[in-house]
Amino acid sequence: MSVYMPLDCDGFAAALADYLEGDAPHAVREAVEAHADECAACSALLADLRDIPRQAAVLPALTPSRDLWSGIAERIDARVLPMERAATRTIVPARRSWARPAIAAAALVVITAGITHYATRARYAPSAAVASAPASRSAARESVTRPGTQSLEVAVTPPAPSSPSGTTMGQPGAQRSGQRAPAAVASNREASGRSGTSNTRLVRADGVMSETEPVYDREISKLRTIMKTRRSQLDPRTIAVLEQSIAVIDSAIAQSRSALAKDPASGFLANQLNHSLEKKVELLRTAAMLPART
Amino acid sequence: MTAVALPEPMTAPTPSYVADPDVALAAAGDRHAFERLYRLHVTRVFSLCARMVADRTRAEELTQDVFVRAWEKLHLFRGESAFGTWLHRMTVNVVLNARKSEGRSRSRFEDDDEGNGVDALPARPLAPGDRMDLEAAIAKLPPGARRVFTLHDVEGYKHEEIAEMLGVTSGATKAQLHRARLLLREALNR
Repeated sequence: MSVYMPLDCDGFAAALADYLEGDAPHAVREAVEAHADECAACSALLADLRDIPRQAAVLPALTPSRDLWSGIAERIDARVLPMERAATRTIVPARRSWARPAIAAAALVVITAGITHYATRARYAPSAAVASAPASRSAARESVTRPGTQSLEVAVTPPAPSSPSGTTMGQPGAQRSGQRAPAAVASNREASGRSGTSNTRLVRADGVMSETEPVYDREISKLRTIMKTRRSQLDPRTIAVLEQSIAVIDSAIAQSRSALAKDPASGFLANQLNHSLEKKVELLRTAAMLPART
Repeated sequence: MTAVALPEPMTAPTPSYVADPDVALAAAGDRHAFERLYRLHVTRVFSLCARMVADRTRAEELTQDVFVRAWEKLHLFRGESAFGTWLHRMTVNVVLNARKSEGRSRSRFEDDDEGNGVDALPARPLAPGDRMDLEAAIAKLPPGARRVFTLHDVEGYKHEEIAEMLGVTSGATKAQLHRARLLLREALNR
């Protein structure tokens, strides 16, 4: 025999949540049910509250107003020129994500300015001038000829871009990791006569950037197009920080170009320029992958 | 239709992605396979986003975020659960993280449920005899109640799971759920 205290409507309402969740003690359950038997209004309330979850569980699926795949594919395709750091970066809220690139870009400017000053004064003479590798599907070799010296062949493994279907590089994570070639390799030890590949490019010291810059320019242009289309999806503050960081990197690029014009044989300066361009691509790629409005 | 009992596996369960070739292909970097997965799951992902944020345009953006993130994280999918379950949980995380990010841009003292209640329900006038449907009523719920209602009553998550996702106690989610149901009843009976 159960013992329960009779409930009025207020007591019924107060006990209802626990009753529906199955958390009410046995005596309370009986009291709730007894009150519902006597009170039409509370009985209707109980019936409605039982019915709502049943209706909710069978709600039909909703459909987007447009095909969302193109936007997804565009963002996935932003990773056409994988780089190690970009590949391993986790997307974090914008407030934090721009701090490091901004600091790195600022540091880059300071370092580049100092080195440029030193290089243009002291006529920096590289032991091996090497350009960092642009996008290329397979390993390439670069032949660097320094004025008045023998030709140097330097092996450079450029980053392998993901294929459009992405089928060649294993899992997405694996695809993005371990693909990036060293940004630059400069060593006399590598100045040996290794055989070239079909992607062999002749990179003269006095024109070292002429063949790598277009690759970066194309990539930057592509990413800028993506950014343009995504502009409305991003927080204006994120865009402002992004543009500020790009301006800093552009400044570093301009300084490197200027210094390189004065000392075209400097592999170091060529490397600095490549590094800056790479930074810019990396930053734009990260921006292209950012979730909307974060 | 006669139900056919499937034989029990003799060994440890096979990872579900093995049973779904598109998951395995997508995990290997096949974008076309990933697109097929998108086609298969987009309505469920979008439905969850739309009901949780009550804004279809925003839900479309979040749906894209979910699939971009899924592509990023697919190599971490080990097949312990069905791909759909994994994707669904990721959807909840993306929506809740977006809410946190957006919340930071609002006043820190602003409670997204504060001041909302019955008054926040049907904004549009209803004709006499007209009843709001459940979908529209859910969209009018205060955000906190809407999230819990969607996750519990629509999606079938348990209170303990929802509490963990939201970083609150299960008592709090039960209270929100009851509040949501009462508000919905009021809206539906208007």
